[in-house]
Amino acid sequence: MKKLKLFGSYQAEEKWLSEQAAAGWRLVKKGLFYTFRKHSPQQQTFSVDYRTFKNKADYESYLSLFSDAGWTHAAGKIRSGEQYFTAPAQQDSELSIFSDKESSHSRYTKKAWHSLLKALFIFVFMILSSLSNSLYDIGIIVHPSRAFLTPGIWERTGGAFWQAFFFELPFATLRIGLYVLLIGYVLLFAFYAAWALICAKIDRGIDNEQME
Amino acid sequence: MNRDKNLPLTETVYYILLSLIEPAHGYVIMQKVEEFSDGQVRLAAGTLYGAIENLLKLKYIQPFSTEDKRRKVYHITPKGQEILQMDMQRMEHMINVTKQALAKM
Repeated sequence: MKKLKLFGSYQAEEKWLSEQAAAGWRLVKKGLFYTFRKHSPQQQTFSVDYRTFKNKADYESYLSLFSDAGWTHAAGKIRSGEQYFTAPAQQDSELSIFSDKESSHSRYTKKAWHSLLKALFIFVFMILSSLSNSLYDIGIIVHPSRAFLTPGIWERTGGAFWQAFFFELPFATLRIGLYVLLIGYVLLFAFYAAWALICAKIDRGIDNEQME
Repeated sequence: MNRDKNLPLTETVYYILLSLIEPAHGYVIMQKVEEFSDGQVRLAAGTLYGAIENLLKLKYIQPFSTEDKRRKVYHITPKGQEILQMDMQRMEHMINVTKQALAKM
């Protein structure tokens, strides 16, 4: 079963995944969608980490550490960012892959920076390709029709139009898709940066309480 | 004298450095830290991994090559030993002045 869902925080996501496990759905993959497989209902705790890795050896060593510590890697890939870990729930204590607030909060900071980097990368690519030889027309956000490059396509009618239209549709979608990605990453950045700021404020608040 | 900006070390970092006087991989570090702290400091895997990355960046620890391909082993560097010693002296000083002050009561 596939599900598409967005969460306001990692905590909310972890809670939802435990509820799914209790209802007999075990997380097996996370891309754009969550993929679940039917399973016997289990009391599982979920913990989400955000991390990227330079190479496979680093990633394997990271996964070994978590499995040594009793966590099962449910979903995540070397470059996916989010890593999903699960462990049998304990009644007396709340299980987490983080033992302090700072490291738990650093997920938001990292995700915000990565989203900004991706947005910048796409933006620079768009600018460079539009400057070099008009490979990319940055005006398509205002005039989506310009995503089609076939000369005179909009003057054609009937079969000739549809043939050219469908032929070029995948490319046009890609061109517009770049914009969608860019906007998506900018929104992700704004969202996670806001979270990171709120978390930083909470951290400071705790420090202040300890001082008093 | 200007103090190193990374001092004082957090309790977690102090115990991690202490446990890397001898080369160790992640899970061994977790166990040693718990043992050194009499069970007071329990490091979770995600927090430890972040701390290791940070200590590598600061060059307080370095990878140590072993047979085990799946588990990276780390070892304290001379720079790491130096900061550990500096933090120990800082705490020794605190203990001494506190003892003296309390003796006068």
